[in-house]
Amino acid sequence: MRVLLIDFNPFAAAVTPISLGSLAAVLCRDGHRATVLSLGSDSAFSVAGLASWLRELEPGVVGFAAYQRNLVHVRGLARLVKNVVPTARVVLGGPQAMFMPDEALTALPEVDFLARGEGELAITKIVDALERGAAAEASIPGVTSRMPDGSAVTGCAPVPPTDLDAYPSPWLDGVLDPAGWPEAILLTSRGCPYRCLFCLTPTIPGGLRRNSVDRVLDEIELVAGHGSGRLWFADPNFCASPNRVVEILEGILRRGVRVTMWIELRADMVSGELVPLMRRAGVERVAMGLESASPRVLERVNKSIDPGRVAAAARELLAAGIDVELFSQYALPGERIDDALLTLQFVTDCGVAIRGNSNAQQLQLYFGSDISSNHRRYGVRPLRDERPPYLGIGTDFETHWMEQAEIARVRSAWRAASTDGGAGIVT
Amino acid sequence: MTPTDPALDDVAPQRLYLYLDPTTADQESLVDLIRALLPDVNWQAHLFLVGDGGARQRAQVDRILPIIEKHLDEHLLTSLALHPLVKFASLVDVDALKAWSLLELTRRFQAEAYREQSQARLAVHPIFAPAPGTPPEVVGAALRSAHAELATPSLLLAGDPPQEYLEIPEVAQSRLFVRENGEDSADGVFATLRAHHVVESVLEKIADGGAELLAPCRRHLVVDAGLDRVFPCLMAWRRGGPWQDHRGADGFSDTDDLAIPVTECTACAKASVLSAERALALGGRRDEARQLCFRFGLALSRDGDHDGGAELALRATELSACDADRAAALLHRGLSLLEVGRLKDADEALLSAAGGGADPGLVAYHRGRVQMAWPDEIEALERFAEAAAAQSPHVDSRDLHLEMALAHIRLEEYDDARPHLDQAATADNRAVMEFLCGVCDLNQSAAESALAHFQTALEQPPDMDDLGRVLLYLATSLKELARFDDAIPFLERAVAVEPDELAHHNLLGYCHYRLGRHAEAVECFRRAVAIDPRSAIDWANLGSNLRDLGRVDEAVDAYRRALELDPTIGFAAENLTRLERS
Repeated sequence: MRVLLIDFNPFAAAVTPISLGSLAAVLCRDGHRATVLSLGSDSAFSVAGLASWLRELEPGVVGFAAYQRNLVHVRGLARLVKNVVPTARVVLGGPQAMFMPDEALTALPEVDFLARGEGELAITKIVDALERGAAAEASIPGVTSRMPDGSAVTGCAPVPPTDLDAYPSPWLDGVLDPAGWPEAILLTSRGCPYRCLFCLTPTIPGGLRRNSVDRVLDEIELVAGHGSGRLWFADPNFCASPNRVVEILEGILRRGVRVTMWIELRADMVSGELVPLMRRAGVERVAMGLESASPRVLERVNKSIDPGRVAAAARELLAAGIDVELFSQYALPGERIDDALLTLQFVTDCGVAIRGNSNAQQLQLYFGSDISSNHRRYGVRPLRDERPPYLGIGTDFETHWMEQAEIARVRSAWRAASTDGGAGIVT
Repeated sequence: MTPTDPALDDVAPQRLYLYLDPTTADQESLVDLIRALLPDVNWQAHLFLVGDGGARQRAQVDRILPIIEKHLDEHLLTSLALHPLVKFASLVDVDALKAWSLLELTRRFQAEAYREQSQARLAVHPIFAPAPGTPPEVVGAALRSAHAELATPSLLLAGDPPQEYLEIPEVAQSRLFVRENGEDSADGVFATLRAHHVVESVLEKIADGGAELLAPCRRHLVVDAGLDRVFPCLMAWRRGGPWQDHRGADGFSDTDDLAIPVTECTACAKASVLSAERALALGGRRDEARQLCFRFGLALSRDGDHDGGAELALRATELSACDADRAAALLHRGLSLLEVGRLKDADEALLSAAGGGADPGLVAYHRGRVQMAWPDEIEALERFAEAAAAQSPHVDSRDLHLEMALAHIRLEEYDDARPHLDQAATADNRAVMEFLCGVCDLNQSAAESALAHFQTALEQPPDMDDLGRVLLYLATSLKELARFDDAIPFLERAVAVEPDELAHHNLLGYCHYRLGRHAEAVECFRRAVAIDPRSAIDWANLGSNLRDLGRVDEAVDAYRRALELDPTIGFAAENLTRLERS
């Protein structure tokens, strides 16, 4: 079967579609034909051009990576797919679809399936069911399907593999071509051992799983040899195992691979030994999660980090010539405006430039996180009673501790301090 | 698998310029045109709507609004930014805009964006054109009203904008267009939009880094409602073609085959940069304007347009806010002026660059090159000595030694030239080095050694531009060794390479003469005087060979022509006297 997988971010330049690449690699391994399309704000295409392209491709299944902010555009693409290739079945995947309520399917007539479990498993189960002609009759494991009577049925999620090497590599299998991208993205692990309440990763089934270090090094060697040599890791928590990080960095040096990297680290990992190793291995920039400079707020969101340690790590890295980014958010539970402004001051005092990922964002409440699921318990007050069932609260809220106007003030303060006007925010 | 399939990449026009001729009667045709075009424009596109900027234009836009609304409703993945021209003179005009149906439609899409927690798929960014004498507070109110609708307005001013307009606080958050000619027609507005379209395109490429600045600008189309035609770009619209009738059985067809030549793109871009940089600077984007002039000027120079490069370098100099930028611009200006032979101005620019902090070694080196062009080799050698002393990392020492060798050779200081030639040698310039060593030897009467150098130079081989000269010098060495017969094949090759080079015909004729082949020699000298009828020596040589062929009358004529041009050619005078006596 021909499967088309589309990642569309209308608000930022197109990036390596690493997650969809992994799905495509699995499909190709199983004998299907998979095409991945990464579209961004810099992509030039017309409705007529895309329609013509779809008509020629004639996919049987079209999967979309869905996020809160791209859903309008994804729905538009899905409608176009249905108009041009009426037989195509549309799947919504990604974090937004994973935790969407079933009734969302009713509000999304252009969508046939919601992938609930791990994408690789869900897409193969859907394709198998369609090929067997069984999609309309029974539930599909890890998938919510619209039945002929309009009802939604969700199949039990299959257990994902504990060893991520069970999935083929989109890089090593040639599904993604490093030469086509200014920087490569690697996804070497899934899950996170921590339980931060604002994050949906802890609620994703499967827990913390990793690719072997050898496979990661093989991928790095390939993308360095055939691409720009710039890469970053999209892992939810790349540094969950400090030993593994060291093994990867030492492996890069041992293999003589020349790369420049952006990596995420926990501040408490930064040590006098690790920093020179990072430099030698090609780490140019390190991002660390701060979230808030207030220990009280950090405790409230179950983020176990010491701001003092973050400051020390940032200074040590900067002194070694490694650029530093600090992730932070505002409007967190328990956070007052003074706390939020303190975070801005803290980041500045660390010597970190307010740009790129160091531009703070308002807490974003997407389906799946504990705060989103139990927002009232965390003092979150949505600003409207009704919203489409496929959308989470997003940033459309105030809290018991910060009203809308105060949140706007914090946003303005960050924007005023920013050296890039708030550009380069990841999400 | 490619991340963005070629069929999807970079083909869809991102901007649509609608020329809404106020006299157009057939509104249905315009509606059809827009309906046919919208599916072919980029998924996020800008529509510039330019007519009379008043009620008639609003009526025309109102006719196409349902088409726009339907397009957006049918295709949720698309978004459009509309830029209507809005002329106004009073607060009443500004207030009237708020009730415009276009803004009503915008609010509908703002509501959709709120509901879907996304961004509005329809936005209106008016191009405000205040009538002459409009009070600044009215202009400010217009800009504020646009900002209140979440739009980024543009302000279109004519000629030299009044200072009080530029001091309106909202101007800093708006885009500023300045009409050079002050023409208040839709044509004048379009000319200004064209300049800014191209300039923004160039700035985008500069921001991207490495992109070819002289390449065509970002894809756009022009719809002329009056002519009922679609043009592939603003330049094509201005010059009246190429164009396309839009309606076929399948709607709008591709405009790829309507592209205008890239050379015209370069000319259009140059005119646009010169026209729009001032507006950028006035609009608070002074450093962008400087970068635009500097980088585009460099691109023009690389393309061989050194006059254009020098002109833009001058603007970059004027726009520079710091010494380093000014010095870089002056350096570029100096080099551009050197290329076009404006040597005094070039030297002044380079000197100013040095005063502004440019690398003194680099400046001295290029000033030396200016002196070489002058030519003043003594002065050049002084500059080159300064450059050598400065040991600049920006001056390739081999280039420097080569220039110094050339200066000495021109001064006939061959022994002084040789050490520089040794230091200038690289694996890549062997043909040049061998040739210059040969020149030194030849001029120091070492013809055998010179011959060996020229033969080695020929084997490398030399650049095509140098081939004729190498052959000539090789033949000259053979002539010095009295090997005239050997010289002739090389000279015949030289003539084949450079048929209009006088020296080749002259030496070839001389060799034939020395071998007693007077008929062949006559042919050579006839070609020589055909190339340069004022070459007295060639007339004289022609005379001698005609005499030896017994063609006395012709010989007398040739000698007379030679002596008319140069009475000091002794053998011509003597031979003429003898012939006349006999």
